[in-house]
Amino acid sequence: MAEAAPHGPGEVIYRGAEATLTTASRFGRLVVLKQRHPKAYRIAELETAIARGRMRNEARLLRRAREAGVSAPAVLDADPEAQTLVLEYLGRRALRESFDTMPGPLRRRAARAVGEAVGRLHKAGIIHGDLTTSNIILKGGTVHVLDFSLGQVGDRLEERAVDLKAFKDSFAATHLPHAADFGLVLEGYRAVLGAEGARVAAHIGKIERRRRYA
Amino acid sequence: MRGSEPSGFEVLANRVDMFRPAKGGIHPREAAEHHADLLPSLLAAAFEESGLSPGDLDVVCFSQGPGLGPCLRTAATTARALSLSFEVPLVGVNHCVSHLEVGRVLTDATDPLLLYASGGNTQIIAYAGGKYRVFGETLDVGLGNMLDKFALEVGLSFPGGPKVEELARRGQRYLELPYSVKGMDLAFSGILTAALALRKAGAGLADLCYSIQETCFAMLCETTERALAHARKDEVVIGGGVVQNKRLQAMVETMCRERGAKFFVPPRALLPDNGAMIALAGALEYRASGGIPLEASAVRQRYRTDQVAVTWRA
Repeated sequence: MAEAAPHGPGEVIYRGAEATLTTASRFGRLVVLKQRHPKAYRIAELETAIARGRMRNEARLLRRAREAGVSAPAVLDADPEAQTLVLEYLGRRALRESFDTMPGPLRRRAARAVGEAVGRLHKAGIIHGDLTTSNIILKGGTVHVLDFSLGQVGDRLEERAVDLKAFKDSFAATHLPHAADFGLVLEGYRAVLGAEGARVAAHIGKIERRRRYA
Repeated sequence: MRGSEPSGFEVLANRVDMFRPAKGGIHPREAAEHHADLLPSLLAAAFEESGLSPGDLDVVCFSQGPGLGPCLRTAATTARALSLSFEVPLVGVNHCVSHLEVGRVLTDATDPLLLYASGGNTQIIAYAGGKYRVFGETLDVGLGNMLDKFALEVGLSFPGGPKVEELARRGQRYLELPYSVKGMDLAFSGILTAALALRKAGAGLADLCYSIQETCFAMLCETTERALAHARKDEVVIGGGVVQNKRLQAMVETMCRERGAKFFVPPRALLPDNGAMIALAGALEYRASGGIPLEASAVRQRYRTDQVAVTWRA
């Protein structure tokens, strides 16, 4: 499959609920500026606490993910005043856009590779907090994981299963024709985490049954 | 309820009598007894208010679930009896979906996302791929239940939401509470624990109520906004008892305005649980696919939103 052309500098890549991602030219290379939006619906005390916490958190978790061998954008600079992180540019197209139209074998391999990446994150004590295919870029067979702003450090069964359960729900809602491929995500996950991975996968069901009408 | 899409619906009568426990929380059996005691007089009042007689009915609709078994069975039994004795078809409605439909049909929304917050439920629902899907929801208790429990522990009466709203207006100091958002899901029980600990340590009730509202409602706004982005919707409607809160409405409105999404508030009487919303959702289904046979009318306490065959939007 042809790779989508990379962005030029000054393009808005994504305008999300939390932040806008814009490309820019810095340090002689293409980078991504991730600027958080303050939320007017939050009172100032809450907004400040959340903004500061999430930016610091994201920078820390990105570093930790890379140390654990998971491809994630390198943090090149951080400006707490402007609420902006300067991140390595990794590619144009999120897996969300390409997944449903990928040829079967490639798609299944991608699902498994995504599960392996999540497994490595969990193994390194990183809970991503917002796993969706919008936050994953697949390029040249490598899974890149983005947006750790809701992440946390943790290795408890419950935390891991909640992380995967949220991924399972968004995956099913986004990729209706291929919702069953989440089984391959779990397969990749278990391949990295072994018996512990199987326990986490089983715990997802427990969380689902705990919900009142789920 | 009279009408159809697209010409519109008219609420002919919408009688509500909410169960309020004498003390403590809701006991399913007591709530069901309340329903059974009041159903005959409520029905009579609804007939009188609407000016209809049983012969005018086209279809009888009831909430088939989710909910408390004894309460659901009380209403289902009544609905079956009405359907049999007046010889009109029966339609079983999903309670959560009816909140969304009443918001979609009775406002100018076309394909909205529903922020649904009540006692037992806190969900973000949208139509995707031929079904209503839950994009986000509470991982522990419904927001209303959390507010009720808080109210009970600090000596406020049931239901807790209105009391908390009133006290929150006098709050001045924000006390930090755990802000718990996981993707599009959220959790409230940690907030309750922290708030009660702060109360024990001497925090003022008004400040606590203010802080609880600001924290919980910001979490709702954030997950709703995430779900809007994820489900690619640009309209929000609200439903459930908790969304009657004016501060919450103002916050969701702000979120929508900043995002360029449209915000719709259904008529106030149709926000909390009510009969008209069940009638409206049932009417939509009835026009599209007819009634259900008696043997398919058993209540479903755990009736999931995504199990509903949405025949009327196909």
